[in-house]
Amino acid sequence: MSTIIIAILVLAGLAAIFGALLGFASVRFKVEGNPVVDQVNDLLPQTQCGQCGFPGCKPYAEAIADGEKINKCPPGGESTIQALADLLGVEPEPLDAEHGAEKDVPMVAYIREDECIGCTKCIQACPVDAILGAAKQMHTVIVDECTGCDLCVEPCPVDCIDMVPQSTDTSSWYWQAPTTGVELIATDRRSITTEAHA
Amino acid sequence: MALLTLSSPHTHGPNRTSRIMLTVALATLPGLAVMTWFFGFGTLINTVLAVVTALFSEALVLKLRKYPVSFFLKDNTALVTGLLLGLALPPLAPWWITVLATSFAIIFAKQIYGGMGNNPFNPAMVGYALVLISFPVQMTTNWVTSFQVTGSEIAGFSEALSIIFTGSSSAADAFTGATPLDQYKHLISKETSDELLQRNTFNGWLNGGWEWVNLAFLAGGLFLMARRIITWHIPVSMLVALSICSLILGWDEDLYTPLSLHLLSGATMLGAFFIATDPVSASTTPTGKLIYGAGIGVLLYVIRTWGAYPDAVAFAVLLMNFAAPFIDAYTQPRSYGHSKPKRGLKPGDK
Amino acid sequence: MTHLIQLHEFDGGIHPPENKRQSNSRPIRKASLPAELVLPLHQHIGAPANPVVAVGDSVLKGQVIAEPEGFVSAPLHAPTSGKISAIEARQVPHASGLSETCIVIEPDGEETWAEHQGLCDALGLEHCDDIPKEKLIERIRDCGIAGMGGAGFPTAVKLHTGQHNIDTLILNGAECEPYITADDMLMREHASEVIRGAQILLQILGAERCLIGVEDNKPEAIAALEDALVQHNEEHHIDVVTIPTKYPSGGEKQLIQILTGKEVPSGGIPASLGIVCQNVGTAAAIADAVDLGRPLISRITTVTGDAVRDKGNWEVLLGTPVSHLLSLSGYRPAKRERVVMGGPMMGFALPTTGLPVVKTTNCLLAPTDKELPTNNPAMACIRCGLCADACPADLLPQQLYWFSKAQEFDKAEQHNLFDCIECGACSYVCPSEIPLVQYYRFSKGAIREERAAAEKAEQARIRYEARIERQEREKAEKEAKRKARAEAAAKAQSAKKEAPIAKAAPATESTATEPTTDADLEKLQKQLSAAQAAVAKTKEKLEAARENPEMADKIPAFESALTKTQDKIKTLAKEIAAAKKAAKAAPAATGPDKGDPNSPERLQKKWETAAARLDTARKRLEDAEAEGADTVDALRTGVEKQESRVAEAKAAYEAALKSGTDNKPTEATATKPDAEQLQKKLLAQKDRVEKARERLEMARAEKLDSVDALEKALNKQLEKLAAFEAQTSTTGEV
Ligand code: SF4
Ligand code: SF4
Ligand code: SF4
Ligand code: SF4
Repeated sequence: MSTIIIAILVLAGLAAIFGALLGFASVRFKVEGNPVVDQVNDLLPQTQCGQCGFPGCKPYAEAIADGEKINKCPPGGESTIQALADLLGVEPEPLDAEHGAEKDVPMVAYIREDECIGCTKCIQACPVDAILGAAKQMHTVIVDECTGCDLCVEPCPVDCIDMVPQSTDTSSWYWQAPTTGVELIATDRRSITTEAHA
Repeated sequence: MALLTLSSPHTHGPNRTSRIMLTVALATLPGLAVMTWFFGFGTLINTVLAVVTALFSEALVLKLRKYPVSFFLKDNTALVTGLLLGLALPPLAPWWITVLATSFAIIFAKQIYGGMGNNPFNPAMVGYALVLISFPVQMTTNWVTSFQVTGSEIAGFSEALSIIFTGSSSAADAFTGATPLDQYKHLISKETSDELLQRNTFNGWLNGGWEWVNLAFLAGGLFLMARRIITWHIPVSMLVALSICSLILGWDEDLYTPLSLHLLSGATMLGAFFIATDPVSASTTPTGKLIYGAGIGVLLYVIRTWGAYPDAVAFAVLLMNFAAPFIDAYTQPRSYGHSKPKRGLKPGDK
Repeated sequence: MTHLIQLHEFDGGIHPPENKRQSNSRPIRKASLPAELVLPLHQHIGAPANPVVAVGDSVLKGQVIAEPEGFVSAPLHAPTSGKISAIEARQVPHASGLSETCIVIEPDGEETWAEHQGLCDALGLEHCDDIPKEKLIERIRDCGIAGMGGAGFPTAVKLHTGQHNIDTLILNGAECEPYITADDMLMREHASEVIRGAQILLQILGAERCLIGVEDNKPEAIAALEDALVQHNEEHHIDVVTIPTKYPSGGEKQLIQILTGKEVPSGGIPASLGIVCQNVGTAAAIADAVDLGRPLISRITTVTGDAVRDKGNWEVLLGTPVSHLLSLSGYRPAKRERVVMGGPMMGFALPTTGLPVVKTTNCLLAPTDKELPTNNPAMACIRCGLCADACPADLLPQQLYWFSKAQEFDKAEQHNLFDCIECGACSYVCPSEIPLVQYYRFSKGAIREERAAAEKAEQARIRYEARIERQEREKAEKEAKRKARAEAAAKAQSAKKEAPIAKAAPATESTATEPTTDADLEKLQKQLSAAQAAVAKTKEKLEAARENPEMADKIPAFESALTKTQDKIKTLAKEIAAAKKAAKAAPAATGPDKGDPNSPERLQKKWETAAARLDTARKRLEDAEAEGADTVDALRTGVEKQESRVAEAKAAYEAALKSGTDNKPTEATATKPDAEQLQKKLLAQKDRVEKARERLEMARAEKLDSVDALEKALNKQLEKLAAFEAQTSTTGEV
């Protein structure tokens, strides 16, 4: 009899202790959360391109919070999918090809200025106001603001907008990770070392 | 013409992994010699067998993985794994135990994880633990009792060969038996320490041969330290932890194995200087190494004293291998310009 | 040495072979003028300078050719007299081998100096000690001085210490990198300038003491500095401190630790410790700038390595091509040719020898492969910890390597990746010959890029939201304006109403044939409002009667009166409606075809609005269905009706279009834009289909698993195309 009582007491005591611990932990380590939508939105590239089928990143973020698939954003690509999967605790899926492919290099719009007729169509299309210009005036893309969303290309009546890869200069350039030893030996070592860095 | 552009530094010191591994291999030689002296050619034969098996398995897997074989064989890590296994296995263990342990160590504990540098566990000890669990009898009774004790000659070369490869147990029984650690642990409940030490296995003060074997490994270890290939942290903390446990918990020689036997018998020194210090699977920060070594020491004592196995270097090391990444994350040194060392892995961790 | 300085030690460090003897055994030589000088605008940290000369201009030696752009920047001066032959993008000495704008000068060989004088004379002061510190800093900035030890941070910026109180100036003469002897030779031959520079810096900073740290492998330099100290009578402020030779003691942070025992806080600057650190070369340049008015146009550069015969130090004009210096030194290209700008530990290998010497070029190292063999292929990290022992920043290079390789950048950052000074000590000792520093550079670059991208995304989000907000506001404003306009119109109308009917009467007469006129309409409306007022009154009375039992008998009367007036209102309303319709029809019938209710445009609009209504009706129906509301049935019939209406409208539109195009050629012009647009759309759609097909083909060829999805997409596009085609054919304009 007494053993049972002791056992119960011990269990009760343990329960109390762990309960208190958990309670403490939940208070102490509380995550000050901004709501899921904002967190998701922060992970999306904010290109506002609409390739996901929603009118912008925020709407897609809202949809994701409501259970939409996370693999519909081509500009974000695999890394964004991974980050979303981490955030939401779901399995990452490969990018849904229906919405387009991930570009390997970030692009920016470039307006061939002498061809621009100043129709302001691109200004209306640009979701982030990255184009400067006025009616009948030449227009220019503010490269730093352009997200490379492509949306201005189609409305242009004279097709003077090109998407060009974002250029690197000496301050944005950086070393790439070296090829590993195994890869090096796999091909001829010498040619690789000279080529890869030439 | 395009010049060669590689990232700095454009110069390199004399250290080479293959050379480090070779030095480790060299440092085991005194121990190997002393073991062969006391336990006969069985040790040598098994060690050679283990090395050959290790190199062969490594080459095989590299071939299968389509990796350059000679480049990776030259790093000498398979050599060291084979050597350590050969030294750890009982001298007269049947050949298939050696082959099994070694190939398992190389193929499963090392290459499956991605080869050198990527194995979370010490491959040699994984192989050892496998055969110890699978074949406890062969692993605990094939130890040679030294010739000084039995009075007979130790197994000669041909005899050792036939015992190992044909398993003729009649010949083997004359030379083999349990290790001193094993005997002491099992018989201390029946006899007093003094009576026990009069037995054949223990030649008066200690046991025939084991103390010399351990001293030889100690010497090899000190050589490695002098060459700055290993640091003092792991061996010292491990031996100190073992000693403290033994002095506090097992001071009564009539109840527990005495400290001298703990330190100078079994695989203690081999473990402390060659196995626990295997850099790949060990902790790598200075404080981490201390914790890691001490953990091995404590586990070693606990398993030796209360566990089912007479020796426990393999289990102690493997258990601490589990903890190594965690220990590393929480024992980062204080970096230049920081008032406090960082802890953990995530940017938010303090 | 006058004071005893307590030296401290930094952790880690290595002792690579020094290899300094080759180049420090002969005095500094002056390099000859090359055929052209190439001056990159971006030789310093910060914004590139802004050219102020044009191609074809003649410049004098020391003349400003580019002005600083913003605060953190430095100007550029012509290193010799000559003509500007080009301002164009050229490859610059940078590990990337990228091109940036450079000013190219063709020397005239005259070396004619522009006018220049010492600051003291320029200000006309008697005591040169009285020069205000702002003037000194300004002079340093104007002379384009940027850190000459390797980083190239604009010196003047570093001297703006803000609120920090500086007590110690440290001059860095450690020169710990193997091979380099430029600072060594400078201290030997220009010790006086170095000390003079220290004096000026002390004056600017108001610091009490100056420590010149020199490694003990440069006894001649130390002796020369000591002599110069005595000459300048500065033994009390300035100390030459001999420090043990160990790489990287010349790192700013390490030198500060050695000399003061303090650590620069991570992410902070030495000034927060009351310390400013400058290179000895910079100090000498400052002395020249302040005392002589000479801008930074030349520097001392070591040319060494076994691939050059004649190793030594050169005083070389900035912009001199490396190939020129190399050929002066007897360069024999070796097998696996390499030319490193900077030292073997931290320098970078040049992609070609055509690149110019810049402000930070302290050494050109042309080693043979035997002398400095390139690394063997890297093996795996064995976690030996040698790198951690060597790291002067007390990092765990093996962990950083692991995280960088796995691209786990957050963990790398947590392990203080950004405290790595890229000294290369870890790579040097790594037995597996792993190019660790390259991994760190990659990680840092990737993290920086990620941060920049995140910042940009944040910016984009803000801009996007601002745009949405603006659009909404504009809409609201428009709405408000529209309302205001409508109100104004209504007011105007009511004002019209009060206008004498007589005015309307003639109009009525003139259109007597019409059944109703504006005046009639107004009359009717007046009647209507009177009737409505009557109804309201009756209702009130009725209510009162109902509440009051005494008046109960009057209720039926009221009620009948009410129904009567209500009937009257109804008929009135009907009449008004009819009148309105007629009024509208009248001008429509007589007006130009713009108002033709049967014109294709109108019909199209009708059709469109009908379709839009249908959409909303459908949506409502869906909502209702989802909510199980009991209005479902009603809505359903509504939708059906609307559907038929849309069909009607469409048919009408199409018929009109046909008749329009068939009978009235004028109408064709009206429809033409539509057709054209359709055509355009059609073409674009075809394009898209092509693209989709291509992608599908590619995916098929590569057996990607996206084939299915692509197929679906293609089908969709095809459908769309078909729709477009159908549409275009109905317009009869294909
Ligand atoms: S697809 Fe375009 S609009 Fe949609 S979430 Fe990605 S970037 Fe934003
Ligand atoms: S400029 Fe064009 S590509 Fe760039 S953000 Fe605006 S719409 Fe997109
Ligand atoms: S020195 Fe090289 S092999 Fe050793 S731990 Fe560091 S990175 Fe790994
Ligand atoms: S390069 Fe970075 S990680 Fe390596 S030793 Fe230098 S500071 Fe440490």
